[in-house]
Amino acid sequence: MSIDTLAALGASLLIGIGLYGLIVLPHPLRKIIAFNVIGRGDFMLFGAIARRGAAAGLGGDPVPQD
Amino acid sequence: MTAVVSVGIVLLLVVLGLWTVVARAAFLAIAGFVAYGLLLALVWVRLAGVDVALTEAAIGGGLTGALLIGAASRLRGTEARCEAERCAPATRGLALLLSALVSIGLMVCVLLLPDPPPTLAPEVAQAMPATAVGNPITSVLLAFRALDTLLEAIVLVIALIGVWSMSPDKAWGGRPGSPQAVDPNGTLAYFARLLPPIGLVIGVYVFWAGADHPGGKFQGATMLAAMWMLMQMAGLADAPPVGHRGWRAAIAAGPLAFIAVGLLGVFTAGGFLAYPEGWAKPLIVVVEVALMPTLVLVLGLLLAGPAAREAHR
Repeated sequence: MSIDTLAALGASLLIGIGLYGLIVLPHPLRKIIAFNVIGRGDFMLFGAIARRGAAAGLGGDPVPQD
Repeated sequence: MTAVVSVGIVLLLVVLGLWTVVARAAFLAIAGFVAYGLLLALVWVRLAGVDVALTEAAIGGGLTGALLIGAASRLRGTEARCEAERCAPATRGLALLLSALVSIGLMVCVLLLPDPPPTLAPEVAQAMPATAVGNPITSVLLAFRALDTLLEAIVLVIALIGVWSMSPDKAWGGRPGSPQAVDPNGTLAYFARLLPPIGLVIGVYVFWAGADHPGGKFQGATMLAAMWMLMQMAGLADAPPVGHRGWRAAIAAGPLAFIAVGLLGVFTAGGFLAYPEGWAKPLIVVVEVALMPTLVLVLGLLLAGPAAREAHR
């Protein structure tokens, strides 16, 4: 399995984990942390998809990385 | 070999993600979250996003962690009260089902992505010479998608206004945080004298190198802000009063200069944030240099928090 597929699957799992925490955890600070787990997972998913777009000598599609 | 490392890193990430959700105490969850941010930086390197990896390590791992620890120590007493509000098992079951559905749905989407993948990389590579910048990420950030970067800088200033608005009335306009009483010959003070010169050089280097290599103002500014924070924690420097006009003007200067460059584009290149032919690189340098102090100040002051000491009038 290539690194981008692996990272994208891991990111999907992390988004689910963060979502569960966001719903279930009662403390507001814990909700914020869980929300950040989702956010980082989203970025990672985006980055993994950008990596698939590697072309023209660039390691990945630079536009999503912005 | 690298495949084994990659699988290991991703597995560890998932375990850390779980830890931040199941850990009993907020401090333990934050420790897991900081480690999660640092590991993510490694994943970003593997994904050929070195610029993002630098940002992730500096902002995700360091700055967010420091902010969260500050929040957790303020909220220490509230955790036990929230424990009493735990969800019913039925709600937890539903939440689990929903989260699993979202994860599985995303995984299916990932496996069904189109092949060959759509990409803008060739367009970026083709248009990059016009910006005279060697790092494709920087040319996207400051030329092709400069509007995103402008809004990011403005959002940071708004976040700082949000933090400042938490100040109690009697401290309004005063300095944030409590004065630090630190042993002037202790280890902290020693490091606060030793590290800033090195951090300053590295931060400015990362900032300047961002034109042609991974790096840039966000990563460099975070390092400079960290050095500033270190000096504040050791009592060698003090945060400025939030009511001070000069500091406020310095913070506003970066985004305003960016907007001015954008407006210049309206008259000279036919569009907001468009650069006239041959002027892209100097204008990008102007924007970067103008944004750098704003970012250092905003990141440092976000960490310092709302005003807490009465202003001396």
